[in-house]
Amino acid sequence: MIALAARELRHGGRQHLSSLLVAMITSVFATLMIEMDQVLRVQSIGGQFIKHGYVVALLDVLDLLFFFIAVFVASIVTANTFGIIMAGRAKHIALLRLLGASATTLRGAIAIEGAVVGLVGSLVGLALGLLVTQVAYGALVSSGTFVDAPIDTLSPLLVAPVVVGLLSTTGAAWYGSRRILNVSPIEATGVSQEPVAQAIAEMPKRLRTFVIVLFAGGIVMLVGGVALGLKSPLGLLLAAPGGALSFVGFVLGSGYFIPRLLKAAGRLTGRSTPSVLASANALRYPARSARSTIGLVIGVTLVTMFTVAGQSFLALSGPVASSAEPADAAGDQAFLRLTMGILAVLIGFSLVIAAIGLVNSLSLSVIQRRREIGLLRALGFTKKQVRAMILAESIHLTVVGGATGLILGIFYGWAGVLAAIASDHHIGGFFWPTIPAWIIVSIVAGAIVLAAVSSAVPARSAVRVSPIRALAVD
Amino acid sequence: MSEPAPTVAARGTGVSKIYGTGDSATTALDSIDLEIHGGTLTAIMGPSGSGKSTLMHVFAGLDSATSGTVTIGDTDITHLDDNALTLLRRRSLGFVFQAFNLVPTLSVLGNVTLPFELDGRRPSAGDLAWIRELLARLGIGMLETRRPHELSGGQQQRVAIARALAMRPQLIFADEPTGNLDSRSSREVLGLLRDLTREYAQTVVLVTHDPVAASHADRVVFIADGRVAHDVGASSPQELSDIILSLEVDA
Repeated sequence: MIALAARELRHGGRQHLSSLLVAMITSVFATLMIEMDQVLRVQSIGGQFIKHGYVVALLDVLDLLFFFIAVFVASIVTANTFGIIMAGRAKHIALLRLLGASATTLRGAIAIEGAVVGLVGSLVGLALGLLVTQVAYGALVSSGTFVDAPIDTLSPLLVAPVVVGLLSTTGAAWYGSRRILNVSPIEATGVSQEPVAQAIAEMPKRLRTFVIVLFAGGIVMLVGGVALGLKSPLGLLLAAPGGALSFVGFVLGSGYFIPRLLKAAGRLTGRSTPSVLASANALRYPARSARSTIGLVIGVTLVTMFTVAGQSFLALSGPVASSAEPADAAGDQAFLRLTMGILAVLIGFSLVIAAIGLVNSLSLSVIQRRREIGLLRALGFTKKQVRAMILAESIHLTVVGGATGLILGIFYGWAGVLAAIASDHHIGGFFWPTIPAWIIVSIVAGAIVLAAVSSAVPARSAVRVSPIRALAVD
Repeated sequence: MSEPAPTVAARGTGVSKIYGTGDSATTALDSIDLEIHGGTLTAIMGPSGSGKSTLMHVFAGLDSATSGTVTIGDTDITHLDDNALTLLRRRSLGFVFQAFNLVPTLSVLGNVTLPFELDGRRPSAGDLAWIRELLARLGIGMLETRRPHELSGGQQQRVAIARALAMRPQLIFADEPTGNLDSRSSREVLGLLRDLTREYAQTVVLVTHDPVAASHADRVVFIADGRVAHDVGASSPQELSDIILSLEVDA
């Protein structure tokens, strides 16, 4: 098992690059989080930067929450990557099965590969995170923002990022490699046909019921919470879990929602052949496309939610503030801005991980479609049309991820802030959300950049596919 | 009784293909002169590694010759760039491969109309009528909306033949089109290919190592060691086998 894993790592190490990167970024995040906690403690005792202990406690809770979200997104991305790698190795796996390797052994070997990738990535991330802390702390002290108090960099807590990285990557590799169990040794013996294209994934009935209950129940709780929130601030206590439940429902049901959205997005790029093929292709493996997109949805939803909630609050807190002490009001607004800044950075980690996942699944899907691309080239697809096809597929995925996240984020942010403050007598009930233009512009711009970047590498390797590729029988 | 002079659908003059340089150079094609006559089914046969596949790649503009010239109809394709070659393939050539002929995400009709749509035009009513006639003639008229994975191997090859004929190309290349089929489907597909060649005056180049397949052809060209070794008219599988065996023994 170990020998198998070692051989794959030695010869096929490059396919794990993205998983390594994802494990690394997650670990950098965790390390920074732990270090930031240390720094804030030292500074709030020794300095006068943050006076209230509750601020540190609040940030701790948010840190932890967003770390779990980052780990969750990272696990989805890594599981997806391993799933695609398995599809590419099917023939090789079939040969090993033919020679007598059991599926369990092979799956164990993949889990070991995952463990090695997770361990190495987390350790590199840990080192990088410590380095960034030292440099940033030094800079903040010398600029006078922080008092010069020594910090204890090496906390025993730092074991956590490595352990979490190791476990989540191993688990994701194990989960992503479940396809091995379906690889028949017969596949090694003949010219295997193109794998059968899946229809839109049917969920097991029990899961579907669960998802519907979560989603619909969550929405009912959320709306109820908002209605209650118009009268009492306690509405948030109902709305918040409702929002969380409905979002979990959406994420679990993404295999159902996302392919339908992708189908609709397919019409955006027109009826040209490259666009039609790209759309069909995004729907070929609905579960895979859903997993590639859901990370993006989660990241964009969170960013938009906090921005809309925060900005709506800022816009409305004017009348509230006029009744309070001006100094306190200014302090509250500054604190809110600081919190939103930190949140943006925290969520940024999840977004980066999601973006890597998208780039990766697009490139691997091109690698697996070499023969099909060769066929298209032989039939008269120009290089430009091939490039257009890959770009269109990338646009479909990013548009669905970005637009869904934007809409959900606005909805949740608005609902949250309504439930929280609408009952305040200065605000007096219902209000429309404040949606800053910059959040929409930056998400749209981000999506355009992501679509272009994530299609660049796969498109380059796709146009290099020679039409002779379609004639080769291997 | 005066037969019309045979037109030349494709011509190669002094075509050579050398892979690698220096000591590791391998000559796949050694100065081949070959004319493919219009409206005929020509089989290219040869043992493995004889260069028959390379010959087809070069004639179809999929690979470039090291020296010599290749013309398709009146077009010299030797110095065309990738884009021009792609357009040539799209408009003037048809292909039938051994396997993976069809785009899995498109229906049968979608696959057959693909060359039109790649050209940025909807198939006209006339085109569609022609395509439907072809599908009916090939016995797959009722499968229009099926996906490739729902078809048998023989049905998939018929769809590929329909696609190759749909644009009425100047030349169709069929590379081991029956390599994946059982002998009955194989016989049917080859019979259709030959009949359609006659009925619609199409030119087909069939690359195969199978004497039974090649026995459907009007002419059989044998390639060995990158040269034309034999060039015979329609022959029985037995006669073709004997020639192949003699080539293998000589090698």
